[in-house]
Amino acid sequence: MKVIGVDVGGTFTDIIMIDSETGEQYVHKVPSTPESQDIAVTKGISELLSTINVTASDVGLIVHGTTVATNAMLERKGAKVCLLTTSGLEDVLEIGRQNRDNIYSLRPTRPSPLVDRDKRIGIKERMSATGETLQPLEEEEIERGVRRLREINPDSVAISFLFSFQNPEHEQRILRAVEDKIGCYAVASSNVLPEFREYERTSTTVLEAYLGPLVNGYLGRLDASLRETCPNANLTVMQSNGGTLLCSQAHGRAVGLAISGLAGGAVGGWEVANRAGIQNAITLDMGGTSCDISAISGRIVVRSDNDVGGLPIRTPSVDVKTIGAGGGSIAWLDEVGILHVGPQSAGADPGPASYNKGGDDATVTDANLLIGRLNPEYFLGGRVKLDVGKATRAMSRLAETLDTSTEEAALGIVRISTWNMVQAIREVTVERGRDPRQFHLVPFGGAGPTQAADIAEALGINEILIPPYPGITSAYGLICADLRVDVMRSVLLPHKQEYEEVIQETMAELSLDATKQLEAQGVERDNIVFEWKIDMRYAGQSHELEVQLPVKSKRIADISVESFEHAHMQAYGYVLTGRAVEWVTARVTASASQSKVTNTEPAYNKDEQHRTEREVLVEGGRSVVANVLRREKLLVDQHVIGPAIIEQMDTTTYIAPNWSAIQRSDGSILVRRKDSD
Amino acid sequence: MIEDPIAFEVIKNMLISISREMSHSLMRSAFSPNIKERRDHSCAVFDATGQLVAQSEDIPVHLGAMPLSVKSCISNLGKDLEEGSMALHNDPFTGGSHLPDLTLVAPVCIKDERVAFVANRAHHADVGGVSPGSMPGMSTTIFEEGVLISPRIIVKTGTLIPETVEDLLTKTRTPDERLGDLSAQIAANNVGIRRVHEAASKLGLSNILRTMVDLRAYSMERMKRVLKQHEGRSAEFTDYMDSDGAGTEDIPIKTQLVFKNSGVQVSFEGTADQVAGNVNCPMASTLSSVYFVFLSQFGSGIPINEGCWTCIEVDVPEGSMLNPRFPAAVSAGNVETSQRIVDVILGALAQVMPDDTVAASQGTMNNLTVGGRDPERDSLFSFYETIGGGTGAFRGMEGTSSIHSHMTNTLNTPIESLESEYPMRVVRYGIREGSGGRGKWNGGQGVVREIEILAEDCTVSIQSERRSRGPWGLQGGLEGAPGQNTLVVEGIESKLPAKFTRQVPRGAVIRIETPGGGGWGTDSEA
Repeated sequence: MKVIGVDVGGTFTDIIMIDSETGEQYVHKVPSTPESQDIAVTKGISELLSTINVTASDVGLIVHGTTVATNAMLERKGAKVCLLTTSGLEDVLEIGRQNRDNIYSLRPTRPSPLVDRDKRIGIKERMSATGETLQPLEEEEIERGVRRLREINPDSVAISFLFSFQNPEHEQRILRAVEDKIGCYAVASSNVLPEFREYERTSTTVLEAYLGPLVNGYLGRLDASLRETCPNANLTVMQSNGGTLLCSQAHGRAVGLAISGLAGGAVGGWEVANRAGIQNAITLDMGGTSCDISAISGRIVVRSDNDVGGLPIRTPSVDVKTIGAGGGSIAWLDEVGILHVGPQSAGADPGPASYNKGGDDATVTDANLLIGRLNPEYFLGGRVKLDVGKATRAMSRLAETLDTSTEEAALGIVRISTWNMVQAIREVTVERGRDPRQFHLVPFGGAGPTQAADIAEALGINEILIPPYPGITSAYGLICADLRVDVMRSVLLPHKQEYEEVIQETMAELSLDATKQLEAQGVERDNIVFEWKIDMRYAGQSHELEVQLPVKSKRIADISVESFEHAHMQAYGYVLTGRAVEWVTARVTASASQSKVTNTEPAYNKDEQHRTEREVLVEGGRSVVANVLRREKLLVDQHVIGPAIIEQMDTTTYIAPNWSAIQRSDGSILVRRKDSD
Repeated sequence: MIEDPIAFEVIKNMLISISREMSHSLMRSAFSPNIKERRDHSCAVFDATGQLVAQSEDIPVHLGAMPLSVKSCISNLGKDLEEGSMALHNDPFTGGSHLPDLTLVAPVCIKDERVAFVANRAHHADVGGVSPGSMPGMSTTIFEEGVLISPRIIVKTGTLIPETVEDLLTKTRTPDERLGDLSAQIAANNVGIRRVHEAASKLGLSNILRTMVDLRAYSMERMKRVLKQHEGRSAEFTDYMDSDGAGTEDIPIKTQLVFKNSGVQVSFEGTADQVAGNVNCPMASTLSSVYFVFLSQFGSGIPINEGCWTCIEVDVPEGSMLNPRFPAAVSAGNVETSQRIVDVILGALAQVMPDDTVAASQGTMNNLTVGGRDPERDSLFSFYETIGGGTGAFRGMEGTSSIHSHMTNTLNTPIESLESEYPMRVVRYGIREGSGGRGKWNGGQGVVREIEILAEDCTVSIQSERRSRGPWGLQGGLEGAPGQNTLVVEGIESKLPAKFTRQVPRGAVIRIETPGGGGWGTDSEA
């Protein structure tokens, strides 16, 4: 079977196809079509198939990473939503947690709510904390709500009542009425996120209603047009949790695609590391405008929350930190004359000064060009010619104000942008109690491998692993991902033996629910792998810790408290012996593998070596001569001693003096510090 | 001015990241909920003379207070503060904010020389005094508020000497937790010391020391450039606290601002003398509030260090409410009075830069405490929260509704969490319509929060402000509605004062309506 991964980025849509029997891989890149992402997706796949002469009907699976949901949130282009919520609490969505993002602001603002006051309808009903009905939901009240909806005529409806995770009856009754009588996209919080904390649950449910019509419309369109191109292929889509979802099952799960595009990068980087036998990896996906960082030990970390554009989302998401540091990041001086780099980016248009498309700001790419790391004739495999003159002019303007040389200014930009990434990596490692020196750096994206050496040097990291196709690692991640379902329900119970059975039952019910969802996507029950987890805390704490449970365990009470104390010790350095413990939210993850990617020798051309030389500036302004090689001409086990540069279509790898590289048989390159043995 | 602007940027970021890493270490290993969950702590790096060089972005009220404590330790202890030792301090009359905030100061020594200091300040859950939590509502002297600690060495050769904190451990209700929090503070300073050493060996000690000097000069230069634009202007403003909780009402806070010499002079001459109640604000918290306004108003993007306020000269009469003498009660000073100091400075700034000043925000934190016996769990409970309100409007910008402003930023309690853990029910939680001051741009709305008490004979305390005078508007904008505290028992409503403690029966409903923000500009339709 042939499997295709297609990842939509801001600039390019990347496609990788793999033959799951032979392991052969083919890659392709086409410019993205932001106004309608499916155009580039369909076009790119057709182009790839026609260039390598593969029969379209052999393609069995297409996995898609999309930014449709992310962009709709950032640009506020979702549906017109009505919210039905418990009377008296209509403003919870707007008040949020009452805090402000910027502490030092005299006039704090927050993103305006996705549903205005006049579309938030209070419904008379009330459940208690234990799920008993305090005020019943009367039929007339349902009718009144439906009448209001008819008047407003929304695109979609979100329903979120207090304590619905304890008793969903009221929510479900009104949901049925809305489905019967209004017929638009409608979702209830007890289905979307049966978790406690009314604000987070409500805002996530509203977001589902906001994104649902758009995301499902997009996927439906794409599915239909791909059916024509590849008649036998299932279309799945990457979710924020790092697993995939059959696109026909996305109703009610659109919010799970919030960071679909980011998740593929982390999965791809980790997959490459994992195949090379690496246990601790920092994946660094550096593109034109931003840099996405994830520190992974043993397995990808999926956290239970996330936010996009200031909107909190309580859905499981791969732990990725994004900062505004990319090849297009602009260098600028403040009023006192201090040099800063980013977060503003020149993007792809006008792009860095050297693109010669009208940009006159010096960027990180211009700096890397001027210090000799980038080849003006072979950027993106020669498809973009870099103009050294334009870069020099932009840089010398900066240098003049800094009262330094053009070269020093360029080195300074590289140094500062490196430091920005180093700081972000320290945040996801050191500040969480992990030592970056224990990690391999796995740089990818178009710009990652060019600055990886500086980053590793600054962090004391000894080994860098460069993926085979750094520029399309996110697309590679897509084809490595499993189908995955996350389900959860808050229980809010004291940790006592007498409640163990309740937890058992909840876990079993959640597992059954997850099984049904995977079966609906064509998975055999026997191929499903489960994970059981539960969020716990000491009574009185307001943060929970997620604890892993053995699947189908009969001793949940004992095991969970042991694991909780262990996790608490790890995270906070102490345990409170004798303090009451609580079970908060039960979680089940079910996954099933889709395609097996087999290892393969790199399909590199083994004839004569391509070797030139060029001068590269290193710290201190010294110039050294570096060997320049082509990635596709490297032989397995070939050593490359730094200073050296390895060029390929999708990136340029810089190997610093004191570092050396070796081409591995799995296609990746391992770069090591010379004195690290 | 700066020799190597590129090295400067790198070392600057490194120093800031040192204070951030100290902060994370402290938060991870502390015990007190105030530290772990409300982030009521700060960490910072100082030069060898105790000048602030870099600070983690934690809470505003520690801003100016930390350097005073560090300098106090240096001048009191001199050479005794040697390698491997650390000094503890909380005295509100020599740089402390209120007694629960304990500051721990450690020298960084390289080759037998003190090259820098690192320090952290954390709000401990209990340091003794007449009430649990050491924040008594009705105190009239500092003795009722807990143990007062003048600079003293509590760590020698890296080890905590328990005898040196015996008074604290005897008076606190939770000695084990105190030891745990102190250990966490020691660990955080050790992280800072280690990181400064690493930085020195990697980038050169002389480079680091030079950058420390440059950094202050850099921030000062940037502040001066902004302040200089107002050279020669001056203004005066007076605002009032509702009450001190001990019988005094309408307590004036007066300020005069004079912009000169590329800086600003801030005088509080004319402010009320210290009062009997606990709204007296220690000098350190007064400075923090002043610095907060100037940093927020003028310092966007400027790294926070002592250089930011070397051009801000603050004069507070000794013995006044904002620079009280021992043994004044101070526990509410940095929660309520600090908010009014911000208002007073903004009121004066509005005359200097009328188009660029925000109207008054709610000016209170609306502290609510409910305690009693939970009938279902048959155990004692104590619940505490603060409630947001409206922020002031600005030219071209409406105020924000139902949010925390200025000197606090703590989260609300989710209703589903409150009702699961306490015998209470939230009847209403919403935006207080019509409370924002009208104007061309309206002030933000306050909050209405109604809580029904489901246990017999609970004790309810409220510490609030802006119950008689609403937050003022600017340029013709009207004032926001003052807050209101109401008790409803069996359908009968009665008005409650701004500050009180009283018993209420089961079924009573407490309604707290928080102030709206002031409006900006004349509303042409009004």
